[in-house]
Amino acid sequence: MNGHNPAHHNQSLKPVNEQTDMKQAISQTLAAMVVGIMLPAMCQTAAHADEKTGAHWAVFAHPSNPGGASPWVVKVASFKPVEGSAKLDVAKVPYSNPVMNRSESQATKDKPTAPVQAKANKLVAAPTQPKVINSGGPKRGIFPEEGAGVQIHGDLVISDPVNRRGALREKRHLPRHYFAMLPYGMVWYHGAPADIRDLPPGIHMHGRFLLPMEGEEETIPLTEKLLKNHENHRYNHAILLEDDVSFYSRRGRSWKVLGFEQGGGPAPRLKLSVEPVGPEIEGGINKAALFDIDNSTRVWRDRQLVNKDQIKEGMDVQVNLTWGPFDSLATTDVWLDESSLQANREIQRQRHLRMIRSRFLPGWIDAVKNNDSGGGEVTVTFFGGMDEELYDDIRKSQSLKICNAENTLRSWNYHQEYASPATILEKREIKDPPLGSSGLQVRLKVTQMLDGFRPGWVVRVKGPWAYVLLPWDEHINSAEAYEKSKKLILP
Amino acid sequence: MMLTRMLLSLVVFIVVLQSVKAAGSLGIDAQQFIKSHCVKCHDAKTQEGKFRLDNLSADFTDPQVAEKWNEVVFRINSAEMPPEDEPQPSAEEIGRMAEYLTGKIREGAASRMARRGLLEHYRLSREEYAHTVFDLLGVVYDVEAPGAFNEDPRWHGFDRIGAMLATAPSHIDRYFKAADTVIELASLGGEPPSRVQRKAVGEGKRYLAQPGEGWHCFDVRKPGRYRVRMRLSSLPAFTGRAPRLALWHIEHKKPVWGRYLVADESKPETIEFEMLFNQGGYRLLNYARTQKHPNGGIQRFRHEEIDASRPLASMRGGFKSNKTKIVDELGRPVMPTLLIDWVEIEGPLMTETVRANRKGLMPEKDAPEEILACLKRFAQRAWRRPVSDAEIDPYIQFIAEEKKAGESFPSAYKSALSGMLVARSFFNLEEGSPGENRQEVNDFELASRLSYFLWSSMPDEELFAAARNGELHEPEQMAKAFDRMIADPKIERFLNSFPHQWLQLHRVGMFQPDPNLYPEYGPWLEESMLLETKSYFAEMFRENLPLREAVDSNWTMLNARLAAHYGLSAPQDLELARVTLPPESGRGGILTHASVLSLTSDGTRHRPVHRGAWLSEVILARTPTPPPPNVEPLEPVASDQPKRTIRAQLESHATQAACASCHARIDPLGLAFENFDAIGQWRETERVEGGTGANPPVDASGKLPEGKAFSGPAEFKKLLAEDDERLAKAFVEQLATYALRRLVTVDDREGIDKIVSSSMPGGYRLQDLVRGLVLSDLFRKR
Repeated sequence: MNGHNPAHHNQSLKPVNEQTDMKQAISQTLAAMVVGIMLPAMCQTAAHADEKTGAHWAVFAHPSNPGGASPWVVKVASFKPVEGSAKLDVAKVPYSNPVMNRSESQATKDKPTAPVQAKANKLVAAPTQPKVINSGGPKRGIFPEEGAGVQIHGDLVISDPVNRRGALREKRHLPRHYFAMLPYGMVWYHGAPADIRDLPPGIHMHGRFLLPMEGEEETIPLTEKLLKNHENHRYNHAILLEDDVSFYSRRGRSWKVLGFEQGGGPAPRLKLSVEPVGPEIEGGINKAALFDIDNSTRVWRDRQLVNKDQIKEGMDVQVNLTWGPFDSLATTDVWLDESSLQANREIQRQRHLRMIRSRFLPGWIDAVKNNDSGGGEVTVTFFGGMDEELYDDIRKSQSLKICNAENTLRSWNYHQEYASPATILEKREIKDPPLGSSGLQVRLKVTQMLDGFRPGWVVRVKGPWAYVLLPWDEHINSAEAYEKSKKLILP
Repeated sequence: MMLTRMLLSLVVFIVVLQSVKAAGSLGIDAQQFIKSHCVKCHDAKTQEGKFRLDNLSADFTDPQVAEKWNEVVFRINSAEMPPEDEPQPSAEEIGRMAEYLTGKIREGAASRMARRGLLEHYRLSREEYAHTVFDLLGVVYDVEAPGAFNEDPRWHGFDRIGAMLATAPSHIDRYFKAADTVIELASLGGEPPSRVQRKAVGEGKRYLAQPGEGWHCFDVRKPGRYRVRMRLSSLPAFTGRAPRLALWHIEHKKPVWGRYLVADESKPETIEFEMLFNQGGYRLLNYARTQKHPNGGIQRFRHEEIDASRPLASMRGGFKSNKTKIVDELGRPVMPTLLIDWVEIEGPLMTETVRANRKGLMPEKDAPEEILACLKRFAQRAWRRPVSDAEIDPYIQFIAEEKKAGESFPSAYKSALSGMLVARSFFNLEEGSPGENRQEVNDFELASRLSYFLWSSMPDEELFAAARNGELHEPEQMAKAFDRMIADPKIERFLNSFPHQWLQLHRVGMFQPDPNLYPEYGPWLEESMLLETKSYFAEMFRENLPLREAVDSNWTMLNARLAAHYGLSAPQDLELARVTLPPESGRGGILTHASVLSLTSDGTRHRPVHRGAWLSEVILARTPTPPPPNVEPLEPVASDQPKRTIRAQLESHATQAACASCHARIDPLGLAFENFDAIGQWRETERVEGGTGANPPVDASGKLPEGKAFSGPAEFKKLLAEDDERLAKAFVEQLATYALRRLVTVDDREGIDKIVSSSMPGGYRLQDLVRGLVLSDLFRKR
């Protein structure tokens, strides 16, 4: 498939030493577009550039930085590249806005997507492909350096919520970017903490991806062929996944509506013309854009669904996106006011609370002190990105339960029953915790020292929450399930 | 006014006279004494200690009345009464009163004896039943099996008190069932073949068992003697704690055999031993607290087959990582771990003793004379007395009728034998004779009394022979029998059973300590506690040590588990051994054994009042008055209040005068051991759940009722040991209760005093006291 249109792929993902050729291609494409549909919009962008920076859109707070200023703005990849691989400097790779960077005529030359999917399936299933050792990623028990990894965006086309894995499709003709969430990897949806299961199929996501964590090198199988396509496939463990509204709004960004535009060509669509309001964002769309819009788009105003004709020129809006024909981006949701987004955010927050209270708060073990009668002490740091209310539940507790979990955060059968009762001996708050950490650390006395209670291993801790029994296929309940859980398996 | 006063005085005088009317037949001096010093508190209105003297009868022929007056003598003599803050009688008055009452009690003795039945039955406890059928026929009968015998009722720990062991129709049903089983198991038709069962874990496999877990290794279908062989490795924890191996009876939920073992995984050890087995399934167990979930469904500690070629050190995480850890981060076993290869059991094995006991039991042929001879021989041993032909006749008739009904001779004969085991002469000890008011037991009764006292079972042939010769009651014969019996291995039954009953050790673990508060508590610790106390008693008996060492000594019996519990170093081979205690251990003597200190606890905290009551009852043979009903329990310390010790709470609790007087006598005996928590661990501060502030320091000081002060357990024990005559009297009273199977009464007091006096020269040594009882008049008295 890549053979059909290599230039398109390389625009966004080509390593930097190949950028010279790529830039030429981009320039050519841009030149064509500036003359065509994008010119008016770009002019408007220039006109509004000095006006305001997301005035009425709240920058939602991350737990570790309640003030609201983005505490974890993604920086340049600082992870050391794998020996022999091309050097990456992701921040220098320009964000590829499909609308802006591609012409419709080019897009129509692409073949249908089905063969790509077949290849992707083969990628995982075919054992004959030579194995690629993908090492050098984060160590167990150590949160990665700030800014490590690469930024990749795309539509979520495969989702394995139980094992917290999936695939993003960056473009309709490119191989999927299969990924697993790191145990401390965070998902945000509608501006609130979330889980893979909360994400609707097709939703456009922004992700920060690292090399696999130590011991997870084979979780997402790789082939030389795939790496030939792009070295970024090595970066297949996500530390962060965000939908557009989360990605932009928490960085103080919104969109100013410039109006509707009726597209032409073989698939004429109505488009919402917008320009960015607020700071420039690495890896984001920093220029005027056209998003497909039709009657399937949910438009929110005053916490209610309204017709798209309520969208008026000059409004500051937030959007969530998905794939549109010919690699355009289409709106799934448009929020016209803060209260509507706040309502959606609260629903997601509540869903997240329910999820974690039944599956328990994840973290990992920093230290262990065994005793010879089966109990001992364990020190746990909770992972970050959860709602603060959950950490507060732990802070207020004296007695907890703790069970072990895999890096997928899957616990074992009857996680409540197999959890060890624990009492808190000490609580510590770590200032300015690294991305992935909550900063909350507890030292626990446990009556059962489970085999999974080892430094760097993942645990889940039950706070003062109601008793639940999980569905059988969600926890690991057999040797077979355990083996299956170790590698990405396509549905 | 004057007249009114006179009238009032007259009324008071009449009331006082009325109040002591019951003591009307007492002498004037005695009446006056009671009026002056007792009635004020022990009348209908106050009833201090629930004890009334205003209406106490003076009929000294009534055993209960005599007992109460005897209590009065004790209280006056020990200066407990009248209380310190009341006018005190002179020493002369006290002496006169005590002597007068003692005389009256003695006068009534003959009448009280005469009131007893001519024939007394003392039913065998189930433990004695089991020993008896084993010594009679070599049969192992499982008295604890479901549907066998119920647990015997206890009186202050003793489960062989005749008055408690009534015989109900349900007992007879069970005796019928037991008798059939016993005769069946006796295999009168021929010895059962011995066979070998071997269970291996599997080719290339071993069975891993962490503490509390084990492997179902064999089943015993026919109870009896078996030889067991096993091969296994036994790895200590990274701390050095060695596994305790146990063979566990699955149905009874208790171990029947155990030992410590250390054997590397590359050098498994083969162990062999022989012992008696009840029917049932057996597990080879890593003996410790089980980690089984309360609902029984989920076990967290590991018990699984593993690959024998895989080193244990490599077993970290992976599948089953939700189970407990096998090895730590350095590859060392986290907990004591067993690796079992195979177990083999061979049997049932026959011994010469059993063969001898069964010899001549089954007639060679169906001939009347031979049947009579066989049955009579059996009956005389089973009923432990001479048996006349007339007593055998019904059984011969029975056999004939059974045969007539179509039964085979062997079957009919066995039924007759079963019948003899449900005769009252078998399951009762009979003392006395119908139509004869005997004051003493005869020689056969004496033989049984002696053998059930020391062996918890029937007399052996030598004892029967001495009884048949009419010599047993002679002191030399009794002494000879005593020496022989304590040298016999069966004396272990006394050394196990008596301290268990005397010290009420059945209460150990009755309220299982809360695992959250005492996570280190487990069945092996509990058993070790019992082993310490029983083996301490056995050591005192074998070495004939002075009784004061029961309460104060510088040694004890420890195994590795208990040593860890006490914070002491373990004996070299980890098994139970006598060790000298360092002075700073705070221990020495039964009173500081973890068993005794924990048996009065309620599972969450120690209970000083219960400790005091136990000590008073068991060590001093003074049973305190039971508490009044509806006493408010101690409330937990409120979360906003400063932490307070139980002692501090008790002191503010016992504010009522009626309570305070009793508690003043009981509490110091328990408070002396405040340095020991609910499972007998030494402490300087008391852990208090709830409340604010630090855990408060303990205060183990106090004052004995007679006024002597002590600062802690060591001084208290010394004070107690100083009065070794008092200890000896109390001990002999308990011993006599066990031996005579009845409550000791005021009429036994003199006999007890004599036994104690006779052992005074050696310093009241334990074996001397037991021998003294056996050779005493009291032992022969009915």
